[in-house]
Amino acid sequence: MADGHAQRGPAAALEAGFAHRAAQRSAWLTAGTILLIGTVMVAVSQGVNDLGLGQVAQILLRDLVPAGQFADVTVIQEKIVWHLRLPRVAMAVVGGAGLAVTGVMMQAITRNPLVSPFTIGLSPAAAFGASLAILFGALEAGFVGKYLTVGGAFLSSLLCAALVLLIAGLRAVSATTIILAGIGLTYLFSALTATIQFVATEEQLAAIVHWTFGSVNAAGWDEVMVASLLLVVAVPVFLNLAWVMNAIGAGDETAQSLGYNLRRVRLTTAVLSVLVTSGIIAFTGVIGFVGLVAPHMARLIIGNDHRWLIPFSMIVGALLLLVADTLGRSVFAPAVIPVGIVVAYVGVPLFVHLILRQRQVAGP
Amino acid sequence: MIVADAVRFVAGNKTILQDVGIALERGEFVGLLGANGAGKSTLLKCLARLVAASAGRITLDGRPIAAFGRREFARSVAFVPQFMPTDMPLTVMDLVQLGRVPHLRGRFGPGDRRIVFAALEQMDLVPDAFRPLAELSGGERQRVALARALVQEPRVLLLDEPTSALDLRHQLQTMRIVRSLAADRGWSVLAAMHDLGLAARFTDRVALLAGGRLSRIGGWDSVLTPDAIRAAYGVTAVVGCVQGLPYVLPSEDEPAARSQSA
Amino acid sequence: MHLTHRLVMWLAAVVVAAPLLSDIVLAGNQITITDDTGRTLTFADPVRRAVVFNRYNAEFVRAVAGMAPIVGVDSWVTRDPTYWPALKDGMLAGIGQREPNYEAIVALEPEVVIFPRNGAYQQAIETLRPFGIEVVVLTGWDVLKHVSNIEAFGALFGNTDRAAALNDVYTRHMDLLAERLAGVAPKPVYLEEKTPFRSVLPGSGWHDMIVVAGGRNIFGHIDIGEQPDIKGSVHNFEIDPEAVLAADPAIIVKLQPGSYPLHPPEFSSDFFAEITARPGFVDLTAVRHGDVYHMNYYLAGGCSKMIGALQIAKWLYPDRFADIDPGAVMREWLETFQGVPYPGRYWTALRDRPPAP
Repeated sequence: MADGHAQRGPAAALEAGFAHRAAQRSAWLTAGTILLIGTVMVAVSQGVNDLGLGQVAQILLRDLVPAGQFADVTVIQEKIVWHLRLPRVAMAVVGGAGLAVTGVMMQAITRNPLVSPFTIGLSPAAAFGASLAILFGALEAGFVGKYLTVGGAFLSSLLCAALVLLIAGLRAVSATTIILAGIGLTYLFSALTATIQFVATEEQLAAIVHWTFGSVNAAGWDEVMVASLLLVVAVPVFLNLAWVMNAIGAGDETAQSLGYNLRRVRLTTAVLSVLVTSGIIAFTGVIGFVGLVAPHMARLIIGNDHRWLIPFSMIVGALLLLVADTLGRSVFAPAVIPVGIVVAYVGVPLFVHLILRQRQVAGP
Repeated sequence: MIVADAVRFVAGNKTILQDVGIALERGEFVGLLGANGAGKSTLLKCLARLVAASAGRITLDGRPIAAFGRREFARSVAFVPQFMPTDMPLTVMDLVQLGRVPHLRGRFGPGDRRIVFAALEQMDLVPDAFRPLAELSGGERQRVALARALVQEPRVLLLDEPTSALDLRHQLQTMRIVRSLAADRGWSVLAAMHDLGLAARFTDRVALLAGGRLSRIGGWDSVLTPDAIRAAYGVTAVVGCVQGLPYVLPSEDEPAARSQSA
Repeated sequence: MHLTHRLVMWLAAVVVAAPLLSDIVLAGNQITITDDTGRTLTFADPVRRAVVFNRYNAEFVRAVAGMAPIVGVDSWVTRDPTYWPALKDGMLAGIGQREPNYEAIVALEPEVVIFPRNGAYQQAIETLRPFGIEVVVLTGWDVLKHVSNIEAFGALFGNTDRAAALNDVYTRHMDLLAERLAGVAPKPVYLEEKTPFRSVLPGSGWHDMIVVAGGRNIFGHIDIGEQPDIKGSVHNFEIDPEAVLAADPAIIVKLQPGSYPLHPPEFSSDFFAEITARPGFVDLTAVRHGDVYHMNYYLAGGCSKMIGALQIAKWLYPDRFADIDPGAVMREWLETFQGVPYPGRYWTALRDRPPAP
């Protein structure tokens, strides 16, 4: 230690510990980003006609490099990448990131690590909206039908969120009331969806059940654009609220003492989270697990400081969904297993591994 | 200097604070005493602007506290709760850092770090600095909460039972630190306390909250008379001083007064 | 897909003038069809490469055009290799008709992809557009549109003669049924689904088949709209066993799920033992005369349920249909149109069962 910067022993140790952890977090974030980019490349290369990574690079950078720079590609291969693979890869990345980050924010404002879009009823509500649309003829409505289903899911999801916040707002917009209202509405919407399934025709039932699997098979660039737009709007706001989320973790009284308006923060966060989640699952169908577990996995690796947790959870969520989708369409090719099913198979072992690696925490 | 005048707090159909007035001077350490349910926490939270008083006026340096912006107020007044939740895996460092939030311009810089490290050292938390809060004992968590307040560098410090879970050594340590914050840094400190002996020893004045009013404010020997203690706590106590250390020893509890405790 | 005013007006004239005609026009070499979405699609030449979703569609394409133009199918077809011996590796283009694998489709380089109207065609149209692959929506399982579907397939693949031949077989037999059953009082029929005491109601294609065969479905008076949902759908409705005893049907037909390969005879023996053991059943007319028939779905559904109707009609009125052999029609359907050998009789009668020891 240089004499010019002489510190007393403890401060130096703290400084070293602090710097070490900051460097570790940076490293994880960088590694995660690189891994994500790499996985995107591999995902794009996978398919009925596998492509080499050089070809993938050539196609992705086609506007920036001359032809044949990395490898030779045919027009059909380009089309397959840009029209079939990239949209679903992009949807998996955007969807995974969006579901993970809203999971983080919802868990932070409710100070409850068990919260996810499922617990506050958004997913069952979206399923209900889509089922209702299908019941009332979305299947027969030809081309408009798709928009009916998406619209139904989205609106129903927003309705559920509005109800949760209304009920919560009648008391205090506190952590507990949000959770309780959400649980109640989860059961309500699940029952409503089950009722619809009961009266639906076989075709409609098949479509409804299929919607609940969660899939990026239908992703086109339109859907990706809308979902990305929601994320682009919400994420900067979330990042700005990173310190607040840290503060809420320390208790409402502490957070208020630091000068935060918790009611307004909770409302803003809840509204934005709902918009992002609804926007994603309206297109993809119900994809559970990511919103609950990706935040946990990220937290186990990078800690609870939301300045790091928010971006890292997006990376974890994107990776989870992307790997799940890629496996789902490769392992049993040409059968495409919906990503909503595969993501749990992929994520649970990983999650259990991370849990077991933690030291035992002493009781309260 | 923070002044409360005719403060009233009603919750549902219970009046917790009837008519409370107190003025905290710069550099003084005041102990807030009273039985359970007397309203000590409520008064602190009113002063901290965590809850709104039903009536009365609270001013900071002559300005009504409602006129302050939230961040501005947080730079002047810090509240330290008695308990902190451990649902989320915050580390000690995570929590203590939070104290800088009202002062942050942009990023968390080296100056902020130095203040945080100093507070950790002062509160004897250096070996535990990166451990999760959930792994610490209740007493250690109380020290963390106070460290956060130190880092917040307010002018007014409001403490809710800061020593309730601390062992003897850390009780003394914390009380010394808090007293020096008042004496050396000129903070106004109001601490709700149960340990009457500690309060008597370390504070400049004590205020006794009973029946929704601050019935007595002043030096400990004038406030903590056996009659006052009997009226406020419903116990007979022996009050005295040995080797310069004040003591208050409860001897019997009064049968009639038992119903006073919440 | 080129929509011109001339074509639209020509179609309108045809449709107005001859309402029973199908929506297909052959103008010179150009092929124009209107599919189930109402779109009018034009092709310069007959289609040589098609991916076909849904087994009924695949059957009809094979009947009309053979296996040659079929380059891709769904899992419903690939899991039945004895019926589809011409299957090759790589033909699987999706699991069922709601989750097509677009990459697999593109890799097969088809000109068209055919979906039934309950398939994921909306999504497919958009996704396949950049690849220039057309999507045609034709619903083979819709028996009401049998004739126009066959004509559409015939036009699409340039096999109008074979299409006409198949339609001729179909129409001939349907007309025959109508003719010979004119004025005949329908005999009561109890049709049982796979699960005991589950039958079909009006609204189900199987009910219609009974009617066309000159039978009266003993549960044909039940309106599904007035029934509680828990009792099932029109295809699979829970009935009261006593109602069967009260109606005393002339014949009992048990539909058995199956496909091209025949069921082993023991299979039917088990069923006959079970049904004769049911309380009260041994006294039923149908049971006493041995008129209980264990019938493979496959036969019943053959050629849009025409063959099933023919078979039931023969059981009900053996004298009126003495010269008709539904087995021969099934043989023609399988050998001439599907190109697979006729494996044998797809049903067993109680009266043929050897008596129990």
